[in-house]
Amino acid sequence: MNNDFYKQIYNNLDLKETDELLEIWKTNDHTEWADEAFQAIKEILKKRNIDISEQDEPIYKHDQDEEEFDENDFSEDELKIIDDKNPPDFYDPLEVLKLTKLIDLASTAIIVLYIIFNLMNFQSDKNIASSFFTGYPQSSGTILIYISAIVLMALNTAIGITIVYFPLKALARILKILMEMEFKSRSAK
Amino acid sequence: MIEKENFFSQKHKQLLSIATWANYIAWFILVISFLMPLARYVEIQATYIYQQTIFGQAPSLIQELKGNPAYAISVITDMLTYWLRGIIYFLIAKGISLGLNMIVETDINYREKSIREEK
Repeated sequence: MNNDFYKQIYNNLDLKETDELLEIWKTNDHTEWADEAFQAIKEILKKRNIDISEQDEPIYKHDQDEEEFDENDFSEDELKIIDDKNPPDFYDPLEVLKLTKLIDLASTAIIVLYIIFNLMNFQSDKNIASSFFTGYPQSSGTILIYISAIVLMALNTAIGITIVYFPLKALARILKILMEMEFKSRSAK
Repeated sequence: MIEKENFFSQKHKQLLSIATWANYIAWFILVISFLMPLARYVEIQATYIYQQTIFGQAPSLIQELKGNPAYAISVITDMLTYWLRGIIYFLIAKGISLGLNMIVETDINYREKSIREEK
């Protein structure tokens, strides 16, 4: 056994509360904890004068709990974060990646919906535009009204999309960056 | 022995609490956003029933939707907008929740490292 590796596990587990160590010991989940971890827990509990309870049946594989996902949906770096043997306690990386994909999808849907919505409201844009050209002759006035209504509609669509699309995209990127930062900080564990 | 409790400052607890609430609010918003189009439909229908009561011969909402496809599309788009808006708020609230959790996790990782180095 690599002594440094064992020492690192021991020191890391020594920071945990006794109750938490007893829980890990009892659960006996070898998919989550290395074999060395159980040996370290045994030593730590002995050092703390705690009676070591009996362990449950060892778990070597989770059949039902595993969340299924298509590996093709994620990049190599993202898969590395998902499959890391030292998973985070406060969030699920897979949930973050799924959320960022949903945000990307929603931001695209927003563009389509805004365009349809503004096309449906073309009449109101036309009414606004016609109020500016009341004194113009009929033929030139109609052309100007249509041009202005189209410009108004395009502006309305562009502003609407900008207000929603870019913040959503930014949120997706921020979440990915935060996850990468957290992943890099795990080596500090 | 350094207890794990020492890692969590009041600020960590506050952040985790906000993250938990953001997660609950996200699901609440999602449920409401699915109910809102229904409420909107009932509202439009109530307007038509009112018109029928006042003017007698006014068409019903179903007749209007069948006879005027442009109006039908605008009603559907209107409802879709409510729904999509709810989904966007849901995604934002979920993003805030996960983001805060990731910030706490990152900070805890670095604190663990510094405490280990001190030892």
